Amino acid sequence: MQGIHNAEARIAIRGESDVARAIVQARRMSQAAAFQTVDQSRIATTVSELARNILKYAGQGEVILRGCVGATRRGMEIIAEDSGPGIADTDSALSDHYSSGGTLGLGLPGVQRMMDEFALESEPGAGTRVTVRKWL
Amino acid sequence: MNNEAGADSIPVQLMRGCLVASIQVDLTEQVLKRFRQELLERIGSARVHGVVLDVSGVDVMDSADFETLKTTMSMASVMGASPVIVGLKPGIVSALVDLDVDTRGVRAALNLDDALEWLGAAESSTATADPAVIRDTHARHP
Amino acid sequence: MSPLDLAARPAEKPLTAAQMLKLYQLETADLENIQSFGESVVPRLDDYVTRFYDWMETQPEFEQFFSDTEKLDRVQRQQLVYWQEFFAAKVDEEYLDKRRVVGEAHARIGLPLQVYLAAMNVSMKLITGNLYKSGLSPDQYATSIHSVSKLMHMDCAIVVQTFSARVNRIMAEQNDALMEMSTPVTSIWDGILLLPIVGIIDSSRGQDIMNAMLAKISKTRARVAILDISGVAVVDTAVANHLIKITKATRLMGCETTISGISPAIAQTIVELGIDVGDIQTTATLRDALVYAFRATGVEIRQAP
Repeated sequence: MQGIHNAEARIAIRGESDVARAIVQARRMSQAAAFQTVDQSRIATTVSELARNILKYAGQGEVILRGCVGATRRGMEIIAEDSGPGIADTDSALSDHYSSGGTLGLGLPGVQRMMDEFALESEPGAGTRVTVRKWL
Repeated sequence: MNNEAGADSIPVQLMRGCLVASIQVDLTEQVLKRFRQELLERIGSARVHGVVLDVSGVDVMDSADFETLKTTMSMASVMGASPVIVGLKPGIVSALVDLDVDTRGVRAALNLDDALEWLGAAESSTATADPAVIRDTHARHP
Repeated sequence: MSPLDLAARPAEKPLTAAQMLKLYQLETADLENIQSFGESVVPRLDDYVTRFYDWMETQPEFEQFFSDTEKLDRVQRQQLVYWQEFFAAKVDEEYLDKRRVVGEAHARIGLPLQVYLAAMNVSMKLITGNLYKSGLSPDQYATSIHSVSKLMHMDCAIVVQTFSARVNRIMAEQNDALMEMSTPVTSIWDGILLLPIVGIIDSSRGQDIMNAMLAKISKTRARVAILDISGVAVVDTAVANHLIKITKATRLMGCETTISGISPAIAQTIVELGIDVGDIQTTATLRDALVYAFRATGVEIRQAP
């Protein structure tokens, strides 16, 4: 097994193909870190969800994937940040079915359920940063 | 067939115990409302178990048109005639789905044959149902 | 995909002559400087061509691109015209178009951009050094060189842009080819369609899949379709949205779609994401979906005795 706690990948998100690159990279890193299949899937899905949110709401931004080390365990950290319009009501964004026009919503509650740690920082007009971690 | 209403009217024919409406005109609210009235009256006066809305001649349909047709179908349904919409073109379908229309409960078939076949099968499996009862409940509606 | 679709792809709109002049800070005075500098250089362009090909022959690419003398002759003639136009310094739409043609020609034969730029560098040296004879004052000379280099940069930029536009075009074409290959809707039985999806579904691919399915349904009169997603990398809310839309759309055409290949991992992420698949028929395996499809179309499967 490789020491992925050293690994880091930064993917600029400007188009759909960047989302695809981020997904592939997330798969590769989670696989190398020996995450279980389900968790690999959770990580890839989270990256997809967050990267697509960047495209949809901010137009562009960055996804950072890296290994992380806790007190007793190792894991993977995903940061998705943009300088888009931000989220005015972060509490609503984290409740299920918060969206307009019958779409499936931001997917943030889902991301929260799939990951072990979740932090959402956002300021209207300044941008959004979502930081999540999944432990092995 | 009653066609005095003008060029915008939608012909309705009786086929195998079903009413078949061939919609070949530009859809406007007025056209669709008049069509609804005529269709429901036909259902009331003829013993039909099914209604087929053939829209294969329609090139443009927005979500409001679709909603109006859907409502007409629900009304036909409560009058005891199972409604089927046929001949939606791929372009229209993809636009309607993009517009996020609610398609729940809508029965569709690719073409008239399929629709009549399905309605025939549905009829024979519910042969004990008495459509007259449903018609009676709708006698209140003019 | 038709050539029309390719043409409709949003391309970067080329700048007008006025915009180009502004971008490269070429003022009327610059163009006049180039013209008067040209008066001393243009009569000696034959000398330039000789010296240029002395250099060119030392390049490893020479043999590859100028193997026959006829081609060489033609290229040399074009090169003379190129510099005559350059020193005429009449930068209009026609000028820009001609520069694009130059770029297109070099890109087509596969000349490395690096060689092209090196050749322009050599040309600059020959033109401002060896060819220049007449007596401008040092100040005038410096100003002229400055003007010449601005226009040369503009010319080079056009060629580079043409090169990269060509690469982008090829990439787009390949992408389209790949897309087309990636939606192989197959009629596997009377009234049954199968589409295995592999890789990543983005919005344009979702749209492609839907269009391909709808077209095939109206062509084959299929009553049942199977969308096998066992090869899909990720099912997030956007992908799920696409899948739901596709099943909704096929239903409007009288065709029921089953989504097969839902792995335990996908099942977990779908539910954790809070996606409601509603009344969509889903199965774990393609086998289950096939059984359902056969039943729905009235095909009986029996094990041979």
